[in-house]
Amino acid sequence: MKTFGYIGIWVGLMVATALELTIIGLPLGTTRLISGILGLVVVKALLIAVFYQNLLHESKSISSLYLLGLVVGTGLLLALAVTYH
Amino acid sequence: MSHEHEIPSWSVRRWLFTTNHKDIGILYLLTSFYFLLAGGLLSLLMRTQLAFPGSSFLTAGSFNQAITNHGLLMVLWFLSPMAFAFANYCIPLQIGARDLAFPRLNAMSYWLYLFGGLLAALGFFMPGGAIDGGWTVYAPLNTIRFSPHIGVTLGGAGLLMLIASVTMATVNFLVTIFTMRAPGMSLSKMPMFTWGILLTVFMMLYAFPSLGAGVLMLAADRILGTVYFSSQEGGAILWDHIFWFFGHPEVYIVLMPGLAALGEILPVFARRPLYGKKIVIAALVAATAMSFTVWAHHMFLTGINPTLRKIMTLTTEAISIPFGVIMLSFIMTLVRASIKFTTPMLFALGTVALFIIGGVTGVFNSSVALDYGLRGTYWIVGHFHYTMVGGAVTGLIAALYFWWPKMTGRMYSERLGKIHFAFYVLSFNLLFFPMHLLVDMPRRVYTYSPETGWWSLNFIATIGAMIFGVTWLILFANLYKSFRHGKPVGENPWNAPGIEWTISSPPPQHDFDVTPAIMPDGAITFSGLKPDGGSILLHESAVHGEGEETHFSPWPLVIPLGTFVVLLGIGLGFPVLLAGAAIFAFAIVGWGRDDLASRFIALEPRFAEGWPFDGVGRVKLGVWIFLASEVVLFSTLIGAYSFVRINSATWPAPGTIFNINHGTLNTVILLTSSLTAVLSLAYARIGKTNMVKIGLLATFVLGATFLANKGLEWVELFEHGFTFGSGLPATAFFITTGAHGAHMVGGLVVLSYLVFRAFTEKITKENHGSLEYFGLYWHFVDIVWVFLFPLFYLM
Amino acid sequence: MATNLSPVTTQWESLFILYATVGSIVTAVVIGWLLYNSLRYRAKLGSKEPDDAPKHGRLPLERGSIKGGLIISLVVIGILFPITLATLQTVDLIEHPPEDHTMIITVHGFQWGWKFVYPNGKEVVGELRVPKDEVVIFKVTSDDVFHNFGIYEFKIKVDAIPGRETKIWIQPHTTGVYNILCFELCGTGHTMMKAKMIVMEPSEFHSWYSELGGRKN
Repeated sequence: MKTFGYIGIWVGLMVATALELTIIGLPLGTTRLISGILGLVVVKALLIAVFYQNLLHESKSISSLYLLGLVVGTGLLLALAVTYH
Repeated sequence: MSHEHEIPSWSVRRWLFTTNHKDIGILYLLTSFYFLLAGGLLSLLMRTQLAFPGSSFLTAGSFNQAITNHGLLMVLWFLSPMAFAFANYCIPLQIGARDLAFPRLNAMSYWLYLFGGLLAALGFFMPGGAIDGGWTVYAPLNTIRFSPHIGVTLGGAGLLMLIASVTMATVNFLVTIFTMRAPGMSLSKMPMFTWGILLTVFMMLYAFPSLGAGVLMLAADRILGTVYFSSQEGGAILWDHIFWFFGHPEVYIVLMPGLAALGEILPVFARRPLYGKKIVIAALVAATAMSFTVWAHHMFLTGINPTLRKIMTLTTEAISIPFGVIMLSFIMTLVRASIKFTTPMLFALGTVALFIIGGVTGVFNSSVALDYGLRGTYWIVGHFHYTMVGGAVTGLIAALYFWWPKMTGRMYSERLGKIHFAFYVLSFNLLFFPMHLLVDMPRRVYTYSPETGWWSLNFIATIGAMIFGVTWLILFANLYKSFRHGKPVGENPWNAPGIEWTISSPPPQHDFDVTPAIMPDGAITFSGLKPDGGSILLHESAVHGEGEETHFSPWPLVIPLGTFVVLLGIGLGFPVLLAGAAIFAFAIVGWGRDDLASRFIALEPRFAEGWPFDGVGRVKLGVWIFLASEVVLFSTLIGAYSFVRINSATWPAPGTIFNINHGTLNTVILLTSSLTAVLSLAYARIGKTNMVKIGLLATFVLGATFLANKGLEWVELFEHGFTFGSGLPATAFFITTGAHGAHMVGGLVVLSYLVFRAFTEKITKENHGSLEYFGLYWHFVDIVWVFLFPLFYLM
Repeated sequence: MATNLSPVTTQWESLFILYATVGSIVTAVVIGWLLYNSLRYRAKLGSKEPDDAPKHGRLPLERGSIKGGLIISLVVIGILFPITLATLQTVDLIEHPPEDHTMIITVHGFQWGWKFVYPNGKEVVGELRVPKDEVVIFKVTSDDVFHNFGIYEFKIKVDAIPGRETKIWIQPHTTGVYNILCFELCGTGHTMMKAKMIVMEPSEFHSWYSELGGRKN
């Protein structure tokens, strides 16, 4: 990837951060607010992983390894969250 | 040949500074036996106390220490390390590699394991005694309020060293098995034992970080005064989840190596190939995946979500399917065979029989309904000893007898071996079967009254325990005799397949003169030809022979030693801590200098099977594997945050405590530092070394600024009286962002090494790997912050 | 085993017997098959090795079919299915106490003992009295660390966790004295964390119960 591409991603990350800061001021209600912020977080994380960590051009096996960790971790997180519901 | 370069076995330096996989395997074996003896003696103390009702041989306090350390030592410091002794010794031989991918890391794993065990055991000599809340160390008994003695903290510190050891070993074995297989050794041709270890380390990779996070949280609670486990919103259930999320895969982690070894031992002595090798592998893979979905069966009676409990009942029952398939494949292997009842074969058959009993009683425990009666009773103790001793230990004994001639070049006594087996099986059942009949007796009670009627069964179990203890002496006597006077054996005393049986016993230090290759029909060749007809360059071995001297390194020993002293310092005071930190820093610098001077060379095979990671360099793969485990670590921390937040009636609104400006500033700084890091790599690729220097310096300055701003923020919070002990929001904030900050500090240490390399012109167009690996880690730390920022500042 | 202590206990015991029967048969068949094969196919003097015997310097061949694995899986599922149904039924009974005519007793575990609080405010430590044939629901919690409240003759227990409330119930049909123990390690007093449960004739119980503020015994 060219230098400009990396800087472009950085601009994207900054914009997403600015959006995060903006939407917490909007009267959205808890559910929408949380899903909005989580959506932006996922976009930012993906931008970094795919372009800066270069997963785009890596072997799929590496992404699966990483993803598997995410699946396992999310499983625990969800179980923790639903414990009393 | 380079045998004149062999280092004599009496050389102290060899054993302290070795990085050779076979030497480290032997160190693991001996050390695991040391911890076995310690754990075994503790269990004999317990059984002596329980032989008669109302006995006062032990006090309640010492009984609790005995039972806790028996569990911890046996599960974590004996069982897995004994499996790793064989993994270290055999796996490079089985896949035709000359060592593990990272020999120094391997040595460091060993020393961390040893020092961790010693640290935990030190508690016995401290006021208040050793850790004593059971091996599950339930909250909130584990907090400073209910267990103020230092022994518990030391136990936690020992666990942390062990977790570090396991994480390194995990990365090492995964990279080795994935990228260093001899040409022609596809995954389906890979020996069963290597398969078993591959899946074992996969489970370790994703299970241990959860324990790591839990122990870190506990340590923070005990040392800094945070309140994760002493608060009611976190407390017992939070620990339960985190512990058992690790704890149940751990059961399969200790079991799988032994079972996988049977997959090699049974066919060799039945003289028939394993029945349905692919089915067995598929079943092991299924069990590995399912092992992460059953943990809440340890929490059936805690009043958690009924749907969660029903799901875990079903998954727990379902996990018996793959194990049933494996057992029946093992038995099918015997059909129309020609079975030789050698000692390893007897132990292998014994493993199958005993594990079946443990597996069947396991199905009882999957039932939420039966758990109302069985939880916390001797039935459970009986059940898990049938799986973890009957299954795991018996299998590892079979493996020990099987590979002993390979490791020593000498045969053991079959007669003594058979006597060992007879007494072993008899006393095992005498010891653990009666426990199933003590369905009413609670675990971990130090005595019972005569009216309970539990005496006779307890007495029988104690007699069994005494005999069972003696059977280990028979084993050690046999091994000692064999080591001194055993009949020398050739390459292959068992007429076994497998690469390890084609070289001398014991193998030469460098294992192979010529890299082996596997032909499509399974033939092992040392002809220097690849299966596709190309040729392997012959003499990597010449380098290796001379290279033995350079394969010593003191740093894998000194770094854990420094860690040990630092952790000791937490208890003994600041000067000790400082001394430890000095040792640690000295060793890190020493390691770095060795690298700069290329003083330690790990040989990379030029031709190897690498599916499914073809073309990925091994350091890079290692970093990625490590990051995968880090994902689980931070998921656990974020999970803990979510758990306490959901259960707390109130939580401070955004902007009331945590200053959004600090968070936003740090977000901008960190995201920018990722940009400068990735740009340095891009410039390195095109050889613009000056830009690399600027990029790295900028990254360093940004990282340092992030930490400075963080420090400022913490000082402000402290000044406003918002400290570690100020409730759950404070606890979650300081622990989670603190763990992230610690990762930043680690990154900056590596970064300063890179800056040094860049300014000494060592980062070039051709050689910028280290920059890339650092970047992967740095971006990961950035991603973590992307999650933490809204969680703490915006929501 | 005593029978007819309480509906839950009776159901638990029959479930345990079901599991034990199925489990014993499975264990006997599988271990029997293992022993049979081991003896039947032992190497005899002078006998030839099987054709596909492992060979020096050659990785072993593949054999066996995927069908075997599928059949075994189906058999295991077939065995698990009925016992799972029985389990789910029993859970239903254990976790859904009858709603009418019940007495709710709050149980507090503490280091180291059990305190029982009756609906009328009566508090006793170490000795629980309950009426025969009436439904008693225990709401269990802990004042300090993790305990587990178990009446072992009744085969019921439930965790006692600080800040949480768990539930369990009995309907005792037989008078007598039973044992309450702690089933989770809770410190040095764990072993001694005992209490008695006395099942009384309803009339005796109610006269004891109405002695408001009487002997806390």
